[in-house]
Amino acid sequence: MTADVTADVTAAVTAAVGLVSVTRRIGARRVVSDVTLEVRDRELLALVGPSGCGKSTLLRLIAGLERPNSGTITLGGLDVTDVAPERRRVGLVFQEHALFPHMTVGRNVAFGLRRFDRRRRAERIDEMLELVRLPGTSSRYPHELSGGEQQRVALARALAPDPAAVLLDEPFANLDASLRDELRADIVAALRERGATALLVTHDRDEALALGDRVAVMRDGAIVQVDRPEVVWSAPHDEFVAGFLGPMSLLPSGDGEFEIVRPHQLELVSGGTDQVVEREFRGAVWRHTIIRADGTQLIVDAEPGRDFEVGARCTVAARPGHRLARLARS
Amino acid sequence: MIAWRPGRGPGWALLVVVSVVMAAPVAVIVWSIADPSTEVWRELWQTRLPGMLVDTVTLVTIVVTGAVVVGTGLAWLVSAYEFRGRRLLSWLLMTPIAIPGYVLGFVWLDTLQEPLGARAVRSIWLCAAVLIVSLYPYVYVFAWSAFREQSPRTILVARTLGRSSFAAWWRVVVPMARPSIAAGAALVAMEVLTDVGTVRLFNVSTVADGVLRVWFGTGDRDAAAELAVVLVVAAMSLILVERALRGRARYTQSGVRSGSVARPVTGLRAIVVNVVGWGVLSIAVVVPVVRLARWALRAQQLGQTQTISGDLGFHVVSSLKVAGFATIACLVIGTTMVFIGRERGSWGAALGRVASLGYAVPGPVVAIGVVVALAAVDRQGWWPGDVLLVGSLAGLVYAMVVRFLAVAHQGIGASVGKVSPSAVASARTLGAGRLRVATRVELPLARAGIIAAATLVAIDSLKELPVTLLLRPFGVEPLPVWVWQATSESLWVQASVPSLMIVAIGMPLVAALLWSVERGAEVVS
Repeated sequence: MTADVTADVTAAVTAAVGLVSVTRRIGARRVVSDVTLEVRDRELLALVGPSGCGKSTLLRLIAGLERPNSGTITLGGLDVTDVAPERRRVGLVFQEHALFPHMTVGRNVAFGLRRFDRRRRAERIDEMLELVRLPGTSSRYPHELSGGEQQRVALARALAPDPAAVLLDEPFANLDASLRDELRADIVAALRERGATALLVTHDRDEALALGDRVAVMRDGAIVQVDRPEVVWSAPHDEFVAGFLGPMSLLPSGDGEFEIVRPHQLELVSGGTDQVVEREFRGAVWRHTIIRADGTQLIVDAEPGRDFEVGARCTVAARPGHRLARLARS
Repeated sequence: MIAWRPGRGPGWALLVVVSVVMAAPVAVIVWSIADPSTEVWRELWQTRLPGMLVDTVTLVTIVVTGAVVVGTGLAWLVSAYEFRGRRLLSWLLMTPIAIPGYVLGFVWLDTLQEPLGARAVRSIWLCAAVLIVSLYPYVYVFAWSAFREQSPRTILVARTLGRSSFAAWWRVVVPMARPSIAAGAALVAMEVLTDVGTVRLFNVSTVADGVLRVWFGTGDRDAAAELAVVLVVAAMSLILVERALRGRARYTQSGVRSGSVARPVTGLRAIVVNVVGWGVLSIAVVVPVVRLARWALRAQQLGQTQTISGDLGFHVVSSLKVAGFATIACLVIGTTMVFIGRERGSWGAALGRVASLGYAVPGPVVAIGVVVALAAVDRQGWWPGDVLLVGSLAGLVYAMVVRFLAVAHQGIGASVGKVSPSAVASARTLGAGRLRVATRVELPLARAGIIAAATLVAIDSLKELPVTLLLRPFGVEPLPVWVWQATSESLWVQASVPSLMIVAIGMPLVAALLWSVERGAEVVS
């Protein structure tokens, strides 16, 4: 245990972004509770959790917009816990309304480039707008751009001064679903191209799983699990992580333990004591809600053709070849 | 590592000092009651005070009721109906704010003297009518912007639920604007309490008038200060009433403001709407300005465009000096207080209210408070030679700032507060310190609100009579003093010249105010 903590701490302080035992209280409430976390160099870490879990506060702590009550925050190995936000060299991208409406796109991007001379500044503006696929928009004003374009500019502005890390706070939350996918891809591409270290805060599990090199799941101010997306998905640390990341069912496996199964890991066979109580069409699959004789409820996906009507009797079986995660139920 | 967390450094000390300096005149007045001169009180109580109280309460009641009806009604007219010239009318209805009640008063006094007779014309009713016409814009502007902020959907929903258009307005829209209307009404009440020019014209003896009479008549400063306490109490009760009226409800609406709530009117209705709107405007602005202009021409012919103190230019410069310095001082102090105060949480807010006390206190009270406070400072002899603060331009400007700082402080605070926190956070992380964020991001974005605050302070200090009257230094004689002197001898022709100048300086300021309101400036109470 002690060794583990020491390893965590060592990792955190040498990482691009590191937090060691960071706690932030507002009144008596611990909004961020004893969080130890690292974002590795050039990594995109997705921080996901339900609204109000403290993920945005965590991001504000890293940016220096709030101060922890205890703990240490490091950037590039340097302790910045007491450093003002303007000296931290982090880039911020918000959900909305963060561009300076009274400045052109070019001046927005140049805002963090005070130490650049005129020529280099102009070059960097062009380079950044090129990066976010908005070349030639330098003299436009933010209100003349679409929501997606504004977010690209916000990213260009955040990346322009070569920050130690880019922090993105729900950057896609206010966009149409169709726009969102395209913008996501572009923004991740831009981050990769610059080799930026990034922390993406989101409440959207699909977004976290799709974009993150690693995913950190947060709940009630604490980090519950940090790992690669496929690991947190298939081997969740607990029922909360499992349920938060997607639909799942708990299968009792005797001796007080449970197996966590995703809907695609199960199949339906006709005849038996289980019954379909509800189903909905999901495009590739029908999603069935099944009640078993003992009252447990399971969610099972089945391709069209292998689906069952509501009220039909069936048996739920595990598909071969899937390893299920085991949990001791608390 | 630089200190970046709000601490109790020099900024805090500055905030405390400013608040104390701003609240001192009011504190001095309130303190005066601790040692009352019973003789003066007994005399006042047995003779004039009861009458003063009755007149004051009567006048405040009539004017507030009237201004609420006229102001809300006009705001409703230009919001609910679409007609030719609606936009122009909706702007022009704000312009009476540039014409002081004491100017409007003497114009209508003279105009109505013949049909009504010299005795009947000097009544509390006519005085109230004049004050209603000159003060309704305070209610109008609040009600109007409240109506504009409401979503048309509200009305649509109300109408689909079976309400007629009028019922939809009366039952849904107006109640939602209630806090704004209450704020406007409180301002009107405050203006009536502080008025000395209009009431004097109509021989209405209010408490404010009494304070002035005691001050100039007996020269008994202590008695005047004690009488002023009555005004402080009245003003404070008003604020409490307004707070209670606002209630705890939140009246903001979320959602997009799309389209206009106005519906077109034609035929007879359109005529009625136009007659009412332009009629009020004629009474409040057109007729008075035309009459003033004609008198001013006569004054020109008679060579009455100057006083014994100086020519017109001298008086205009005096006015511009006082209003200009007061505006600049209010802006600088207001901005500083906003930026220092907001980082000190509730203490900062509390100090802001302390510094804003003067606005909730009638002009004569502030004036006397400033004289008493400055005289006390002068007695210390901290300054070399015979420099005295009482009777100096600095003293007058100080009093104006005490009186109007709240306008600047609240206006700037509201518009800086509307700047998106995300934009500020972005600027900070992009390497901008507090000062650069303030000058490059927050202040430019709050520009409209700051201009609105500046024009309001400028208009107010341009018109302000009691403070100017009591504190004008030698060699500075703003226009309201000239109006006061001429009207107190019923010399309308002479009074017309400075009156017209006040209006002429005030109108561009009103235009600037409207411009900034159109650009999203908040007008706050």
